[in-house]
Amino acid sequence: MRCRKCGERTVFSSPALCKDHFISAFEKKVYDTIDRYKLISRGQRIAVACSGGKDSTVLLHLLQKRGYDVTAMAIDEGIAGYRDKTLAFLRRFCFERGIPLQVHRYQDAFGASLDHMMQRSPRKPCTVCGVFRRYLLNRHARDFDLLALGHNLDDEAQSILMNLLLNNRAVLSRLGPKAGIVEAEGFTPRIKPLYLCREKEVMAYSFIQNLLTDFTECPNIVDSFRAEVRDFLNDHEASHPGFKELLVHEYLSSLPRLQRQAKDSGDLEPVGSCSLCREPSAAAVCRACSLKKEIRVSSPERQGA
Amino acid sequence: MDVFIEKQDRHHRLSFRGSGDRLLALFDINPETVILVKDGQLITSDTMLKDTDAVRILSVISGG
Repeated sequence: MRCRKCGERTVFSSPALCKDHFISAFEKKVYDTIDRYKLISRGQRIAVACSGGKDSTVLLHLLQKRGYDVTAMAIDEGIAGYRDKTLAFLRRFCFERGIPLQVHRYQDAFGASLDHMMQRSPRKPCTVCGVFRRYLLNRHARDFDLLALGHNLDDEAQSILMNLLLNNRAVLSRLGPKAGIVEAEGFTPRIKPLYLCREKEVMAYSFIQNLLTDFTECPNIVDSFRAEVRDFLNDHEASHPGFKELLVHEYLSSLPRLQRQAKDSGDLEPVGSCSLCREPSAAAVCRACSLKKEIRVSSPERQGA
Repeated sequence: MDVFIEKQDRHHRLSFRGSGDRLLALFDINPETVILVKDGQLITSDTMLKDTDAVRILSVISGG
């Protein structure tokens, strides 16, 4: 297979591009997404949610390369043998490039690591992890104008299908490259500049640019509904190439209608604040505080307390 | 051929000639979930491989 632009040896097959043309096409796709969906304005301060994995590292690299004001923000859930490795890579990466890094730990915020919490909870680890991670990201992103997430097209295709299967219309109306249609005090807007990049493209770019850490997989991922949906989508993609992109583009074309319907039907509950921690919440008590009580860990610190 | 499958953290020694696609099929690996590396270079799965090659199969799936 030869590069469709210059005839050199290809490093990627869909589209067929050589190394140099793949790099420029990938970067153009990300920057075009930022411009087309007006994700970032000049001068905005951006917290980039980083795990040390390929997606968030590529995102951090590309945002810094374009001259945006970025700070890496990592959450240390306390997953032994996993997060410690990815954070070591992230610390080195940020140090070498002069990028400020914040690391916020479950242990400090809730008095227990995720591993410890799971010894006391019958819930799936991804459920607990997701709630507490979002809580900490939102709380600490408040000092910034935007919170950038490394979600790629595969992640989004999974979210779309999962919420379709669960008939979760409110969540479906909040996906997209710029997340959230309800503006609430204390809620930093989330952006997804890698939204239209397939996971395989991100991996290829990450490999070529030497942005990869050693492979590590979260030990809890096998238990998740998302992993089941991911495997289904990848199997379907193999027999129907382009299926994931089609799903996301069809979703994007339906998004304005989904948002209108969600607003008109009252699916979107008004966002107030949690009576315990004062963080934004549609319920009287936010999910983080409910889970904290259930698992019997420390109360999340009150913002500003 | 020496094949290193990153997700298994394991090397496999085998006699093989054919495309990367055929190699992935031999190990029952979905091409959508991996990239192939030979001599430190990214290759496409239609690349013809020979017995003396060393190939690394890297998972594209996020850690979680």
